[in-house]
Amino acid sequence: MIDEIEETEIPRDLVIEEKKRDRYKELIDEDSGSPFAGQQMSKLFMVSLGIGYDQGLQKSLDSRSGSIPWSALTKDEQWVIKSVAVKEADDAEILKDGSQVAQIVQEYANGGFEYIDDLVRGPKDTLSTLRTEVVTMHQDHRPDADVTDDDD
Amino acid sequence: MSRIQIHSVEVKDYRQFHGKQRIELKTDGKKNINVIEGENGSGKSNLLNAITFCLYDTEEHLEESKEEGLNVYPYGNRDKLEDLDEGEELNGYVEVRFGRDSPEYRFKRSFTTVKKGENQFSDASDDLTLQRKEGSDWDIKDDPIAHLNQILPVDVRDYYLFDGERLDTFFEEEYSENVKKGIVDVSHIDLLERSENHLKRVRDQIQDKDDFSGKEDELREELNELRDELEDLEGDKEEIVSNLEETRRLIKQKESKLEDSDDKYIRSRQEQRSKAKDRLKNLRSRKENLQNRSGDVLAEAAPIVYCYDALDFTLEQINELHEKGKLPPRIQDYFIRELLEEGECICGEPIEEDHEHELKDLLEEVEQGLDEDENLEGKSEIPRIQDVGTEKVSQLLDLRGQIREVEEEISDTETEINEIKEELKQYDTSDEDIDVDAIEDQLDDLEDREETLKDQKEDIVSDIALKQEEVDNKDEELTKELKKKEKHQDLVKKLEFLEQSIDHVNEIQQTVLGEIRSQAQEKIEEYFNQLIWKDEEYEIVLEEDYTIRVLDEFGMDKIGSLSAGEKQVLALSFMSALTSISGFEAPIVIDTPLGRISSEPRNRIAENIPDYIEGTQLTFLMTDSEYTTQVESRMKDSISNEYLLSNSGLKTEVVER
Repeated sequence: MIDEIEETEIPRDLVIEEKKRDRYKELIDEDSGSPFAGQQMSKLFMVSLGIGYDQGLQKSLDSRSGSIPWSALTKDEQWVIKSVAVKEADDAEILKDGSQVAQIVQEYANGGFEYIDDLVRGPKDTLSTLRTEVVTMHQDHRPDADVTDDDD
Repeated sequence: MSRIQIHSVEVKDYRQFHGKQRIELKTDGKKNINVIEGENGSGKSNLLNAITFCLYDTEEHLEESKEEGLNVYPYGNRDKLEDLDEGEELNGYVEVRFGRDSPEYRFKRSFTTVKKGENQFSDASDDLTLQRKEGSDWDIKDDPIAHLNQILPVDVRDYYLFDGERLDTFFEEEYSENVKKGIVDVSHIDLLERSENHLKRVRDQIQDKDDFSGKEDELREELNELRDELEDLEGDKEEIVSNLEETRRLIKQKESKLEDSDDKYIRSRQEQRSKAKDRLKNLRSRKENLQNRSGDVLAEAAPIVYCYDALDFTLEQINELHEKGKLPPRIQDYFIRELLEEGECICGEPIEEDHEHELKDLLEEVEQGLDEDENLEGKSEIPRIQDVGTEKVSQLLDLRGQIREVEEEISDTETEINEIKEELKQYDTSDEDIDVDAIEDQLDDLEDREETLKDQKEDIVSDIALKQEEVDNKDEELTKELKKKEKHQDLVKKLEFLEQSIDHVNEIQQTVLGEIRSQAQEKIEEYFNQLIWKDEEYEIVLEEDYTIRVLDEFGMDKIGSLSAGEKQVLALSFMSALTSISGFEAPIVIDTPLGRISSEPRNRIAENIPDYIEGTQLTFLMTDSEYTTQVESRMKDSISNEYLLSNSGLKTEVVER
């Protein structure tokens, strides 16, 4: 549900749920054994956003903790964020409303993170599972792209 | 030094008093009494009301009747109000002058009565004003209440300005409450009461702040238990590490035996096995690196790939805008700006005002919607990002291929190592100093043990990390509790101090009240015996529970058998005792002082009354049935001013006698 568009700046920090903060840190810890070990929190946020968006796992935040500085995101990541907001609003005008853009992607990332967390705790190999998902999705969306998968 | 007196009361159009009327009440030396005589309804009580209205904005001696919030008995003079039309107003005032020798005080309160309808009026009173005369000048004072409190504070006014009718009922059932209120009123302990209430409020607030749970010992015990468990785990880890080192040393020892064998075949196989083991270690490390890189690439590919359709959609939107002309080439924007800045067209003609407006509107249109730079950027960036997605997926697949290759190599190397082991087990050596089969069996056991110990080490390292976290959390909990305890101890000290302060303030109050009771008892006895018409002396006892005993010469308590007149004298004595000990040397005004007393005792009281509060100005408002010839003759030597309230219909005039 998109609210009325107001001209607002994108917030300085994108936020995650306060109660997920520790788990975020655990998953990027060097010794965690997760596919995100040793990475920045922003990378895990972006993967969470991708999964949340793809699977429609929008989930509002109970409590907030500023964690992902907008300036820490690469240009590519910022464009992915903007595109998710435009698609969600079905209108490019949403980009004028930085607060709403942030809210949309934060909610998708919140739902997506729970999916990743369940996967890491489960019996499957997380890296292998996600890699297979990404490759399959790429082939579905861009069948003409010059990528071959030996598994096919 | 003479006591303060009421010099005069001036009223203008107040109740029965028509127009401006002034009553001079200044008394002189021994002649300390004023008598204002008037029939019932002539305005006696309203003279007392005039004084309390002026000073305290209240009329306590009035039976008020209101209908729909409107007064039937308004401040304004009814005779004058009759002449007003609906909606018109009448203004009046009451002025009371006080003084000793100097300074003189002129308190004044004005009022307005609006006629709302037939027998319906609305009253409003102004604030009290005060002029103070020092020498020959009257100065306006901006704090009249503060000055009034120096003369006659609101708490004690009832013992100086009162209705004699009240004396009738003073000693009826539950009279001790009346006595207590009187004693408290004149004891000036209100400051102590406020202090006590403040101390109690602070105490309650402090008690609310105290969140100390008293779990310090429990928490300390839990923390010590956790630390013991952590220590045990550290000990276990040391033991595992030591066992692991010992196992590895034994493996090395067994392998050295094979490496140093005289049998060339055994030496070469062992050498090959050592190399394979080194290779296996490197392969496993390489696999780990590839997986880490794979994770990095996945983190870059996933957001793009999962959001392909969003990127496609956004690109479509931008292209649509472009097709609609909402996304002009950047050059157009620069061009319009340049034209506006130069103020000249490319043809050389100056840009007219109309054109300038058109250009500005066009520029605004161009700048509306998406940020132009963003649009232009998006048109090129989104396809590039999608290509990055493709490139990253390609890298992912490449890495996956490399990982699989490494996994195969790992599998081959493990097979090679196992084959060497089997070969050596079955090899029949000529070297008698070495039992290869036994060594291989031992190596099997040691390697199994090494694996088990490595697993145990990993588990215990993880257990230690978790336990350390538990210790840290418990330690933090204990630290918080200790801070609370520190705060609690501080609060306990404060609470003890407050409790002691409350007790002390209470003791002081009781001491003050005890002293006032004792003084009151003495004064009541003095006045009662002075005013009572009987020859015997009575002893008055004012008990701690504020009951009063009137003891005759035989020590019998007569309070229950006092006549109505005697009770009124006792009440008058009590009121007089309060005025005497209140510390205020204010004048006394009593309305109907002898109303319920029969003729003989009334004469006796009239005889004694001038002396009973020496030096105090007394103003009596009396009916003709009270102010009889006998009473007048007994009081005449003490009377300074005598007035008659002459009443006809709605008008009363004050006539000097």
